[in-house]
Amino acid sequence: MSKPRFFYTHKKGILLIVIILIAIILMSPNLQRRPRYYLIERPIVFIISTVQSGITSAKEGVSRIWNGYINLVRVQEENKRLKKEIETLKTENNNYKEMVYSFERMQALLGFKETAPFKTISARIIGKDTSNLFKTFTINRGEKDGIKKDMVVIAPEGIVGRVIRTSGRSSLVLLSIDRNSEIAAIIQRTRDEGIIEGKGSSLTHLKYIPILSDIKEGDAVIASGLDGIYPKGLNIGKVISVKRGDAALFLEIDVMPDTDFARLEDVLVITN
Amino acid sequence: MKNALLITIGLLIIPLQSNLVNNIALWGVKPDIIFIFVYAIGLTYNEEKAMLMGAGFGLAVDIFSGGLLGLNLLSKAATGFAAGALGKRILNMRLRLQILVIFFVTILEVILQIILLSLFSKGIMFFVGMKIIFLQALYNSLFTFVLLWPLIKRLKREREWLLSAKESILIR
Repeated sequence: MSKPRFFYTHKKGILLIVIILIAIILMSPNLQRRPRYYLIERPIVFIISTVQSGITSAKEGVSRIWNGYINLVRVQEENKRLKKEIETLKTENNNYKEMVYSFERMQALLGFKETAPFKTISARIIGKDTSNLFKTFTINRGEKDGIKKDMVVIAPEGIVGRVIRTSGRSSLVLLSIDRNSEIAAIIQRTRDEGIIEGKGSSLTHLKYIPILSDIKEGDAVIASGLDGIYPKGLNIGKVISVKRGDAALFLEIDVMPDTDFARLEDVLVITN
Repeated sequence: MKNALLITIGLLIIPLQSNLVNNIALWGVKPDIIFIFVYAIGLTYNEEKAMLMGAGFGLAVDIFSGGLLGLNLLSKAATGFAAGALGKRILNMRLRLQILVIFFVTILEVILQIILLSLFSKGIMFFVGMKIIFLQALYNSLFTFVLLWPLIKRLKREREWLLSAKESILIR
């Protein structure tokens, strides 16, 4: 009789302790480094990524309708007499433009895919990280498409990141700008080797470049291939600032990635 | 039934957060609608329910995101607790104070996340952390208030009705 009363009176405290304990267990390094989603996680990932795919398609549909509407309003303002004709032309024009942009994007991706010395598979970004603390993307390719952990994700401009977790039809990509991302890099002109680390913002940081190195703003940074994950020669970005501390051993270098992560829609995953 | 509905809404909000909310990000920081949902549960129900729901949705976010597993579980549970304990008490108070509490709860949530990241992961750069703390707190308090204003008004009315009913019983 006293036990249930104890639980009832201390319900909040017990609940809090249980939640803290579960959180601590989940934060253990072994669980953090899991390469695949556990069976228990898969239904959640499946539901969320399915809804996400639906939202992406719906968003595109709504934006198409919205663009049509905007065009209609503009045409009305420009010329009432030619309203109907212009309306149709503008809407059509817009649809064609959209098709051309989409075609150009796909062509660039395809061109890059054909010239790239590795086997790739194209993927679409279906979601971005929910928080402001991490930089990850979800793509619509998973184990069923041959995607595995640590496969490199690229865009025609350069490196995007690497796959950190996979499920049946989707995968999670850690972007090169995330704090947990590290890429072995080399300065193309001076051949100095270092490590590119994400800053959690839109920039990356190049570490371990000796103070005597002759690095200038605008120097290109490429992957050195020494980490065994990112193939040598892939574009990473350009040096945008070089700071020399008085007593420091290494330079403080900021690198702006060549890839525009905010506008990225389609990517390629290197599968070999 | 109510719980099932809340869980369904929560599971639908997570992909919305990762998809649509990116379009309204300011300087790379976006509002946290999962936070707003947990805050609403805290206001409507009690601390325990908000804490449990917060922990559940937080875990789903953790599973789906590439971040530290358990981070959102703990921080969203704390948000639920704070909303249930603090949010309800200030229902009768002024508008400014309510916004301030939401601001304060967001700051607490982000600070807790940053502390957990420093303890269990790689941490976060100071200036990035500060930017996220203040922008997200501003953004969240604004969004929470706009989205939850009808709920706050309804809860206020219910509370006043309950108080007047109590008074009339006492007079009799």
